[in-house]
Amino acid sequence: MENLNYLFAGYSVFWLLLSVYVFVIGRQQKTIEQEIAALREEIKK
Amino acid sequence: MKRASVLRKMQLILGVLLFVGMLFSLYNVFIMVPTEQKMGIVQRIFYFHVPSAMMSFMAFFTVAGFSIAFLVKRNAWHDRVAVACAEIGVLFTTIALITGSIWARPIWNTWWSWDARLTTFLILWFIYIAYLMLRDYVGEDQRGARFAAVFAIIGTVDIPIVYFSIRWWRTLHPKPVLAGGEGSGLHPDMAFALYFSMAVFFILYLFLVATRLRVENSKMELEEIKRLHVLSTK
Amino acid sequence: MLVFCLLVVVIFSFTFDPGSTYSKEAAPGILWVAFTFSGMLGLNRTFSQEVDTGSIHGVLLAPLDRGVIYLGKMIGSFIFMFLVEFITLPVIIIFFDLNLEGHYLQLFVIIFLATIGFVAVGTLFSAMTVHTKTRELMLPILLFPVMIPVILSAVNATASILNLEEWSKILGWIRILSAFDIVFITLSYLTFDFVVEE
Repeated sequence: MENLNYLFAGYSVFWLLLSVYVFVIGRQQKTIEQEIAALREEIKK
Repeated sequence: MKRASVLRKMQLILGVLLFVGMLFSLYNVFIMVPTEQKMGIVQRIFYFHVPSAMMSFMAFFTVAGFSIAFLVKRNAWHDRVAVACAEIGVLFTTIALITGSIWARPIWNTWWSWDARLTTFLILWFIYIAYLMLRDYVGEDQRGARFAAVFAIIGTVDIPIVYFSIRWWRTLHPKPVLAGGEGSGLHPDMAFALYFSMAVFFILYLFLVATRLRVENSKMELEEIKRLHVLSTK
Repeated sequence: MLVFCLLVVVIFSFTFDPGSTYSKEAAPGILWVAFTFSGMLGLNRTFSQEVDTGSIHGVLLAPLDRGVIYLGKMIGSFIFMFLVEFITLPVIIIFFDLNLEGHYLQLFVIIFLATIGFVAVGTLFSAMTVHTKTRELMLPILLFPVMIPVILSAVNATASILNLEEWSKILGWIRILSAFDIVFITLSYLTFDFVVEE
């Protein structure tokens, strides 16, 4: 089982970068949707 | 908007496909595939490294395609697709570079080597970072979109020239040839795992594009509401 | 621009121990660092005056194909940069104690082709970066990655010229540089219209 740590590192990097990216766009999506909802409320008044 | 619901549906379907495919692919990579004899267990990085690299090319070709389409048709949506793909391309390039480097360390005994493929990838990374920065610095108007599209076209044409110039340079100064892992004599199980993983990465790519495009779509919607609001209050 | 170029050369040449074999190996690299950095300074100003005073609108109103404006700007930058290189080169030869032994024509060809490639893309990009918030920073970030084939070819070809190698040794580099020049002049000529349109 030599070099197992390199294999582990490789896959961790992949999952880490991917989840960070998905998290960031998810948050962007949420803020924009909230903003849209807030504006819609405002306009209705 | 109709586009929003299409994107949401795409995201959902691709998400389910991705989940199933990814589990199966991980099973392939860690359990099904035989361990490579020369390189040992580290070689298993291969099944995620190569598809990442391929998807970054895929992303950048999409960027170039949509940039040309934008310049010809001036459809703002084409430009949004180009940005989304550029970002995802940078993500995949980063993954490919880092996993490649981690794979290289135990096998070639070095983190980095200035071979044609590696160097080209690094330049590719820099070009698309510059692309994203250019958009940011011009501001989010028509002009930024035009500049970015022109830059994307120049960058895409530049990449093969970079590759050939570096290869020419390396043939002039021969360095120890790197042990090739792919290509000849791939065990059928390994080939299957690789192709399967490529398919899964393609789904991952589409999934990310759909997710990222939803953000762009919402942004456009928000701008639209703001504009209407300003008009109505005037 | 010229003073900057000379300064780069002087600083690097006294940083290295004069006469050491090391300094000769570094000479092609330093030469091109000096040329590209000072060229960048020149390119930054290609459009800045017109845009700041608004006279760019007048230029664009001229009843010409806009590609012609691009070519004009490009030739202007080329002449400027080439002059700077022409003056800097003897200084480098003196400071680094280089020996060209009649290989002037080779060096001329390489500098000519590389400078064309540099200003071809540089002029197009500088028309974009004048509109960015940080002009001076953005141009190198855009230009350097795209310039890799030119810089690589120029440095390596210069190195083999300084080793007094045959024409055939630099032919490959000349080919890459010419291909780069033709491709990017055409492409910039075609896309310049999209950059300057209002």
